[in-house]
Amino acid sequence: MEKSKLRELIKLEERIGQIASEDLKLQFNPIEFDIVPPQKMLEIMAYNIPTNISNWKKGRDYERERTIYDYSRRGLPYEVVIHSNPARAYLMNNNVFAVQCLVIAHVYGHCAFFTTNKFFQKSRQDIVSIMYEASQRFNKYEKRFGVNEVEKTIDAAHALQLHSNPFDLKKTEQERRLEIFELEKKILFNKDKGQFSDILDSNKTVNEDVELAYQKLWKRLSLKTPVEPTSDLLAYIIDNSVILQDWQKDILETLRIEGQYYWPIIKTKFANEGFATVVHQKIMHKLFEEGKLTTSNHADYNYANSMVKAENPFSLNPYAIGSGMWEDIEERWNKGQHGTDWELCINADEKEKWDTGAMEGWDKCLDIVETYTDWFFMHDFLLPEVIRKLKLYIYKPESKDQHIDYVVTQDEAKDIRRKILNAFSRSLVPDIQVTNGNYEQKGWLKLTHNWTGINLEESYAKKTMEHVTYLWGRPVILNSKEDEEATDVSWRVDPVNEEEIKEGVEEEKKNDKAVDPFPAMFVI
Amino acid sequence: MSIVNHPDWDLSERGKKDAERHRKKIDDAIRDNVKDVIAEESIITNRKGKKVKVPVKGLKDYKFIHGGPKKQGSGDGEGDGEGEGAGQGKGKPGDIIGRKPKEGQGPGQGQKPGNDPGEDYIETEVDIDYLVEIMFEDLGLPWIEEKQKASQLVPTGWKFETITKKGILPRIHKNRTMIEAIKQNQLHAKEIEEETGCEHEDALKALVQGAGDINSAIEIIQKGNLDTNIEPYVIIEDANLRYKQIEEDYTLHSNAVVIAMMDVSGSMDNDKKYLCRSLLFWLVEFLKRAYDFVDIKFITHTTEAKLVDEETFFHKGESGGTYCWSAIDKAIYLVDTEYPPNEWNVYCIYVSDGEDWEAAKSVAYVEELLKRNIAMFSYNEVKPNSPYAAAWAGTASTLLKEMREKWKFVSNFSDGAEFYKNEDLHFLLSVLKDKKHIYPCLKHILFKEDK
Repeated sequence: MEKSKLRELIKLEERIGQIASEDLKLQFNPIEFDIVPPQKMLEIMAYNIPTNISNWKKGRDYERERTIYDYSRRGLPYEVVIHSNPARAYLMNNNVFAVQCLVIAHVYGHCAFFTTNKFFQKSRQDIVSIMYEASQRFNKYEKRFGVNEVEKTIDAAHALQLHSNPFDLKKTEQERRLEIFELEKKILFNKDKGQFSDILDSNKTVNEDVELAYQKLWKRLSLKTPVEPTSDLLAYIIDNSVILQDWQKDILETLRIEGQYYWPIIKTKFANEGFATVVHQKIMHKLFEEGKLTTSNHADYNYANSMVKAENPFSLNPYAIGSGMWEDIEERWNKGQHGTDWELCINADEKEKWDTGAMEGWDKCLDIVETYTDWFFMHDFLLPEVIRKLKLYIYKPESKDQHIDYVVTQDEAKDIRRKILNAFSRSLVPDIQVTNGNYEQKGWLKLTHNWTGINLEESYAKKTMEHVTYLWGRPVILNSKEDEEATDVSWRVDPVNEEEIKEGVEEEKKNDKAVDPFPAMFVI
Repeated sequence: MSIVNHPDWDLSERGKKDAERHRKKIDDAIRDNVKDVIAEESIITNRKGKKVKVPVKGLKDYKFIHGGPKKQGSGDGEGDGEGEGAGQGKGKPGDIIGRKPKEGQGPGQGQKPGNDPGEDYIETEVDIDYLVEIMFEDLGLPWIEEKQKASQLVPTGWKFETITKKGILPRIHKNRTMIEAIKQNQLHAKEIEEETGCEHEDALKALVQGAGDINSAIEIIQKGNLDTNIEPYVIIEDANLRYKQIEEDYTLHSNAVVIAMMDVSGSMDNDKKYLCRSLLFWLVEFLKRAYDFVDIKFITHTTEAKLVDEETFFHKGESGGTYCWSAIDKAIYLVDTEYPPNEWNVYCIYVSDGEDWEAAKSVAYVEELLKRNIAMFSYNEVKPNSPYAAAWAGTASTLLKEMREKWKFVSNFSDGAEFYKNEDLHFLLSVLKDKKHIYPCLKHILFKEDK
């Protein structure tokens, strides 16, 4: 990039920041922009965090990105943002000037989302340096303990890292046990005198010595591990596995933190991208109004903006869907099209012309940013009208003689809404908890899948359990369900010969291919 | 808040390094699976394309994920149908938004090495040469001996060894040329000293001043015209130039010949033929790559043996009765006429189902062959697990049985295959029952001796 252009861009960036904070009332951490060449961008794409640890999976992803780029000169993003303080943004060096402005404005949108949305508040703000330090340490581990063992540990950690979120309390078991002890102590004695004692089972009142009852209670709690089911699989394994070395615990803990960093990003993909798109549109319009950008820039901007928001016939483009939804929200609250009056009104003509002049749209958007994840965002605001406006449909592959046709099957807004919401709940990380760390008094680990109508993919689950077994050192059991009525199924994986025994009812094993129309993406 | 341009970040090598790790992992996976891979029929039949597809297991990142419903939901549209997705754009029900060729038809199918749960492996393309390389990494012909009389000259490349006075400038040998020139200079200087009685240094200076001509140098000194400020240097004359001569490099190798014998009689059904061909195919591929100096002879037999070329050997079948001795006889003939064992390391490898009509006679012929002091005789019996084979196995006296009664072997059983070895006679036996035995069998035949 030429120096004069760079100087101009720096000036504009200042103005963009002003517009974002003053006109759009956004809050954000300071942002540091780096303009990078394609080679570096390919790496950032593969590593998610540029300073991330070295691993064969990163290499595989890098090679895939590079192959796509080498053959098509496409596949590179305009920008990548890292949520930290200060925020880091990487801009492609071959973006034309107007696109560079668009991207900077887009980054401001993301950073405002990071700073405001409550799900990002517990993320580590120093993830870049954490991963840098970690990669140095892990290199040393590889030299000392062998690449193979380190890789196995990293692979296992990667498999489980999304099973802990930033809201998991990092309390030790003993602390938690004491808390529960206090809690149950109260229940033990207040049962009789409690508010609902007349309808509660009062046969179990304590007639024994108080101290003895406490002792019994404490003994019962001491034998229980985990003292209450925990979803933070890695944390439990780190604390309770008997075979893990200290360096392995370090790897697991670091990658657990990394997983916690991804967690809100994955959960807010559509809302986040949509919001940033709306923000960059607003800022760019302002810049054109102010005459800071020329008309020839306008053509570049329009082209890039339409590419970002391109309709994808086979999947949902988060930029297009998200921004469409935000625009709809803003418009409705600007015109006061919400609330009881609006809901109760059945006159279509009246609804069409409804405008109270409330102009609360943008404030409403900022409110929503604070508390929503994708699923809630979709649930509350992907209304039939929006679906029609965005021209969404459901398609299905149909097998013909020589080929497969993808045929549109539905454009009924209500059905589409239900299917999309369904798909969203499916793409979530399955809810799996550690329910027993000393199963059958043998020290086996028992995991329970909290079945909510969607099955686990069996082959993947078993392979993942091999990872867990490597960390736990003893057999691991997973309990799940295959449908509503069926008895539980459980899979067991042993550490050495990794033999699987399927207990419970033998079901016919049809390997239905799972469809995940919304794969979780990390890079934003 | 700042913008910094980093054009130099193009030099980052991290991704490449880690990509190397990934490739190594694929490599390891191929190594682990090599014995399954080589048993693939497609490799032997599809020899035109040098690349083969190899399934690589366990290279995906496994996580707990949601799968599809086991049963299609009842009621109205409960659950997602198979393969359904959501898209955006103009589209009414019934519109076709895209089309792709069916899996298994036409090119370009199955290109996603990817994210579909259910398939347990990714496919990767590998060169056959590479497979051979990793398969036979620590294998080689056993019992090989230096045969004194007629070792073969094997070209190993080019070398510069001879130095000549004629040649082209690019091949000038600087060191030798300089040495020659210094010698010449010193000689001339000595002559000048003797002629004029001057100092050695002055003689050299005079030589330089006289442009290398000894007579003018003498004249200069005698007339006292010597310029003492001259730094003496070595004068190179045309006669001093020396050139390197390029020539082919040879090394001496022991001679070896492999006589591959195969039974193509009527009792060899498809399974057996496949095992035979597969075994010999890899053996031959290996020998061709590993040793430049190995002759390979192919013999097929029914009731009589024929010397054939490689193409015929691997691709043509016959039928008829079985006299194993006919092949052995042919081998003996070859050894006696073309490959005398005192000059050649002779390796005889014979594959058959052992259903010999004259087993006793065959054993006698083998004994005769062994008397000729050959490097190795390996007999491999194919016995695929089919009802027909099982019927034979119980009743008939096979060649293997006869051989085991005649000689003593150290036996070794692994995974259904049987291996026997007689160190003194350099005699190997094996029984293959399944295609997974091909690799162990190759290892059995091509073991390298501990030295």
